Amino acid sequence: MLDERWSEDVEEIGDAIAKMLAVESAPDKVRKAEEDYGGIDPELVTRLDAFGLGELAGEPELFARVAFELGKALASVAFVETMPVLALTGKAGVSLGFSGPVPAANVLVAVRDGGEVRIERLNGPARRSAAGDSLVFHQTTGEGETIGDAGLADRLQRFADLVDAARLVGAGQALLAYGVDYAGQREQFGKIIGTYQGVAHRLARVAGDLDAAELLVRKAAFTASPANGGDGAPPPHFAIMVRAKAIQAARFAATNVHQVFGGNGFAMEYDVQLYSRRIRSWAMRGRRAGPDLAELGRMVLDPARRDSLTMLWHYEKGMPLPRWAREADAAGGPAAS
Amino acid sequence: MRALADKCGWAEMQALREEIESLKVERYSFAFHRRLAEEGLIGLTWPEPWGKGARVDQQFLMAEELECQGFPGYGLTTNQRGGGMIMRSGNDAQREEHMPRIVAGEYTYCQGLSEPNAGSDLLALKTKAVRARDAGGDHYIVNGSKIWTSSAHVSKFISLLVRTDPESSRQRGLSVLLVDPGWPGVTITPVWVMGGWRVNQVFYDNVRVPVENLVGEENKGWNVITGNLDEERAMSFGGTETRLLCARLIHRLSGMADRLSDADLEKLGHFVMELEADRLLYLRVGMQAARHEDTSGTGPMSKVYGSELAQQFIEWACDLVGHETLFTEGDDVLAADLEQQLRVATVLTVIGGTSEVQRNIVSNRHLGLPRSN
Repeated sequence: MLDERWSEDVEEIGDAIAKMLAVESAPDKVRKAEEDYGGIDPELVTRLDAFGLGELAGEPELFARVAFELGKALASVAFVETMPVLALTGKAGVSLGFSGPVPAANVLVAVRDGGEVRIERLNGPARRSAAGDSLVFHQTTGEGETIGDAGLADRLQRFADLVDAARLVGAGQALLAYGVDYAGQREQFGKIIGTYQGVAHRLARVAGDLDAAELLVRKAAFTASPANGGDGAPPPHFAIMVRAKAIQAARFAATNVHQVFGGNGFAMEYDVQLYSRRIRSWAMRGRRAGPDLAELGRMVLDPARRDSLTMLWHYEKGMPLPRWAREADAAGGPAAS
Repeated sequence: MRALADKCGWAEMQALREEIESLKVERYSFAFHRRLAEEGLIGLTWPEPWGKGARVDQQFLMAEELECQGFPGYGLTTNQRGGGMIMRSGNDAQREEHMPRIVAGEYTYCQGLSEPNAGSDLLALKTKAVRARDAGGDHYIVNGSKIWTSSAHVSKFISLLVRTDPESSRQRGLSVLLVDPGWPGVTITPVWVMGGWRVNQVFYDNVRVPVENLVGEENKGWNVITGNLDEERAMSFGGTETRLLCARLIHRLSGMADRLSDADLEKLGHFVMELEADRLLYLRVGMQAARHEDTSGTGPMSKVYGSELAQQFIEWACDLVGHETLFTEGDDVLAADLEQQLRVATVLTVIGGTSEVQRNIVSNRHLGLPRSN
């Protein structure tokens, strides 16, 4: 991936959604959706339907960008959870329920059962989450439409990793912008707090991690594209990396922007909590990132799996060593202690 | 570059390393620099007749490949920086003299910037140049001293930042002079560093510098040198060599996942991920530069990310490989290289501007916060 920017078409659609969400998902509307409608804004759902999100189709990059914008606006809809099934099968309104709870707002859920993927009616009690929406631990009924095999299940999960990551990074970037704005206005000890390195450097660290995570979202989307040799979802190593980095960066943003706001950030009156509660909740809804990273470690240590890796670092395929290093290191040494 | 790497076996790399050891300069080899010149790889982005008019991203990928293949890239970096400065700010006579000789690998450069009392606060510099005219011609008389002048003892020219207006302060009243390290009054003293090489303190005692060696306008030297600093921040500080070390470590441990703890496997996955992230930040700077966009905020972000990552990785890698990385001599090349990198990485968060300075720039230029105290 040489061009690190979103492609022009995706940028255009992303900008249009961002403009709409700036009005329709403003913080007061997010608060109202949480207080009055269980975290789902019916007006916003209608608006997004009218925008055509239910029929969204195209490159993985487009889905990633839409998820990014929905995260950035803390959009009170349960759409990102349906993106994998929509993107890879064309079926709308179906949450992916392979691991962890799913939104109560969607009545259909895709489950993995042995070697097949089946769409079932959501089954189980809804519980209010700390992020303000309602979630269900789906209990499989064994009844529904079979839509694919283990291969599809694998692709759906990897696609979910991409859009989950994009949503987290979008929310993180918006929270950072909110924190920077505050740090540029708030005065303490007679000075703008953003002039103190203790504050400014926190925000600079957050910016580095979030930008890195956002660039990983774009690269993972790039690797997912059939035009670049992908199967419609990021390859396993990019699926792991994009999600793990997004979780780390978004959580880091939440912790640090709270610190910048001091006591005000703990007050419900300020919007920091709107972001941090969602970031922390979204980060915990699927698998834990640690075991995923350990799996990535196993992947690179297995010669056959390592040789099949694509587009990692500066390598096109695998991780070949320069000739001199192969010869120098061939003698070997003590293994890991 | 990969074809070049395929021709280089361990015996050839050992010869390069022996030359680097004899020169006592970090990752600097005249033999390899000449090889790059023969291949026409110096100044790729410069316009013809000196360069090839390549895009910045093409040069960026070439430099990345060079470092990731383990070749000594410092000579290319520092000399292209010197050439870039003359290209941008020099006069016709300077370009005519220097540019063909740079691409031929003959003219080499180092930077005389920091002073004993002007490190991170570079603009506190005191080295002064006074213009004088006598029987010997129109020239500057330079007095002062510079420190951390890497490769001064092997370079043909020092790009020296001096104060030419004694009434000025900070970025005003500065000029850049090209100084031959062999001129009378120039004394180069080694400063030995943990990496195993020398940087230098250079003393200037009534050094006569012809006015023809002024680069750019007198008292406008800050504009000349900031182009260099921007280029420096766009360099990879630690990421490329860490990727090579990590790849070598992975090959060393190939098939041994069962012998690693879950914590170490997770850490390995973490570094694979972070090195990808670091590369993307670094790549962004290269692509922005290629599009002539402002990199003054993203460059420092990339620099601080890569340098801190390099330190985190090497601490873990040495710990993982174990006791063999305690030693500076031994037959295990990978362990020896890891041990050396443990020392070298110490300075990555300092050279080219400390992490603190970089974060000041990120918060100011990238985030738009007021200047930090």
